Amino acid sequence: FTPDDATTTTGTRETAFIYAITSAAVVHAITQSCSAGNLTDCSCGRVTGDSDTLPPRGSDLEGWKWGGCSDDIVFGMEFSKKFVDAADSRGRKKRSRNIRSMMNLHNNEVGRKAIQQQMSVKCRCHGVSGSCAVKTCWKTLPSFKRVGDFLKKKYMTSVPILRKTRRRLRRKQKLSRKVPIGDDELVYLEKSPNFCKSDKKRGIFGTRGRECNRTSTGPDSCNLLCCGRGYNTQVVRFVERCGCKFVWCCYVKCNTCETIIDKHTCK
Amino acid sequence: MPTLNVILVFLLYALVSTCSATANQWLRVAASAVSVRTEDACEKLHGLISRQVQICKRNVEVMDSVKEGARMSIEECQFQFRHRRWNCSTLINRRGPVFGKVLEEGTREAAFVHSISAAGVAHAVTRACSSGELERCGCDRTVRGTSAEGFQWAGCSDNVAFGAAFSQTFVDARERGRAAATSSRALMNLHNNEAGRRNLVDHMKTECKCHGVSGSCELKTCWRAMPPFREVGARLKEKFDGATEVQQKKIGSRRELVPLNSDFKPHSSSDLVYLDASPDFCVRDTKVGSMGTVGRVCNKTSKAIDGCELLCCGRGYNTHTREVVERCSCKFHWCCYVRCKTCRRTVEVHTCK
Repeated sequence: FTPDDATTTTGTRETAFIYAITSAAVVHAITQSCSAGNLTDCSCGRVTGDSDTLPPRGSDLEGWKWGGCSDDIVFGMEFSKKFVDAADSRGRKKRSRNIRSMMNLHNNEVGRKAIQQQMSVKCRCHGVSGSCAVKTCWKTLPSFKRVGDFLKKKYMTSVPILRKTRRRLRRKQKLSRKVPIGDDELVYLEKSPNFCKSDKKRGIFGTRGRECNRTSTGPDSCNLLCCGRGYNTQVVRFVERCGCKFVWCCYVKCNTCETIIDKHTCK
Repeated sequence: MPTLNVILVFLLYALVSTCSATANQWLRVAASAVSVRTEDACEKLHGLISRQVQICKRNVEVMDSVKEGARMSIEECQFQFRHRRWNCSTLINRRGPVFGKVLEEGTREAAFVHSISAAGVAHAVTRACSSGELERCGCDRTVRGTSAEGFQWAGCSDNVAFGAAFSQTFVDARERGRAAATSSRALMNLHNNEAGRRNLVDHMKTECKCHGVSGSCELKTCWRAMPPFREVGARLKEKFDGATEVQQKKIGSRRELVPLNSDFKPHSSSDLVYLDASPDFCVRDTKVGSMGTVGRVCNKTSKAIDGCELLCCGRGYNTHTREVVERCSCKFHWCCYVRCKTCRRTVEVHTCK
């Protein structure tokens, strides 16, 4: 997709996901660069405990200290907020923002929070022969795949919102309208199209030619993915090296294995 | 279910489109009310070509099973496709029997109808053999002795060889020996007929009974049994989804059907093949044999083809509430009757616009 793509110009669940993961990606990349020393404006973070669970100077009782290079997401978070949110915060006053901008800003924030929530503590022991008498710990970013998985789950449970706002976003569902929308909930305005048929105008490629799973019943199944059009079958041959053995001295001998599988693609 | 029967009769009537030589016209035999007892009755059956009438005359006693097979296969087709845009009951032009082009063209739908009807006849004839209704066949006597696993073959094994052979003689008669025997469509029909039978014959089950002390399995006798027809239908439905688009090619002196796209896997003898792409069946268009999906009941929560989004082709749906009266909280009273309350429940029914 490109930023001009219809998928990002309409306010669907897919749009919500794209905004969230984009802003999360900016935080992730910048924080990594900070830790790697590639940027002049930031570096490793100095950890001071930010909650009850993380004591400020490590824990003498448990015998560990903060050390190493902790990933500092504060700079990345601020940068992402300034840079990614810029497009949608042009109207300075909150009231003049339209509903799409509010939706985007919310989803951007969900993406950033997703990273913040999944920061974890890693430790290493440097006692005699690796014993844990001396231990240093540091904070580390979650792998981006984990962030993606997290946001995918949020995508599945994303919340439809009303077009009319009263300064803040409101749920579409009447019964839960008073429940405020959390910063871990993706929000969307419009129902998604079914993505079955190609529609270039709306940025939909259709599912023709997509690989599908014949035996699954999930969204990857041929039944769902191909929208009832059926599927074609190809025979694919994989040649791999397998059964590798080390031979003294010094080379590795492998067999070549051939696997033949059926690949199904939508009609 | 009277409505279903009406549809069935209409469908059968419709199947006999007189202008088409390729449709499964013989399926109409299922609609004739009287059973076939004499050779003369064969002449009165509609939809048969002269070759099939000859076969009928020589096998009068089997014809009731053929009728049953035709009925079963149409019912199964409607069951398997009940959630599809094409739901196997596309009809009706009042002036005459038109099943629409769907079966006249070499579509996937036609492939399915051919395969299920060939399997249906084989199934029904085999069952008649096993239940002793026919003089010329009985249980499969070739299955006997002791098996490799150590049990005894006994009981009545289904004689599916006879059923399949009869299906081949009768159902394939339309395509064989004609001047058009080499046409792509005839080849397609023959292949799909055979595929239908293969999906029955290749999936025979072994059923057993234990006769040891108090039912233990020390003594076991087994027999070969056909799978339930529902299973055959489900299998063929899967073949429908993975059907291969083919074209005719001359290989040596023979004409064969090969995949249109040579990258695709060549079809096996149990796969379905088709020549023409199907319409999307969204709007009513009798020219292409599409009834459209207006008024069809759809599933609001499904994302698959039975869901309102896809079944209604994006036109949206109407929602009605309907009251369902059920018997509920039934209690058994000594002795001996059951007393129930009647419950009323409102359900939402969604139909395509």
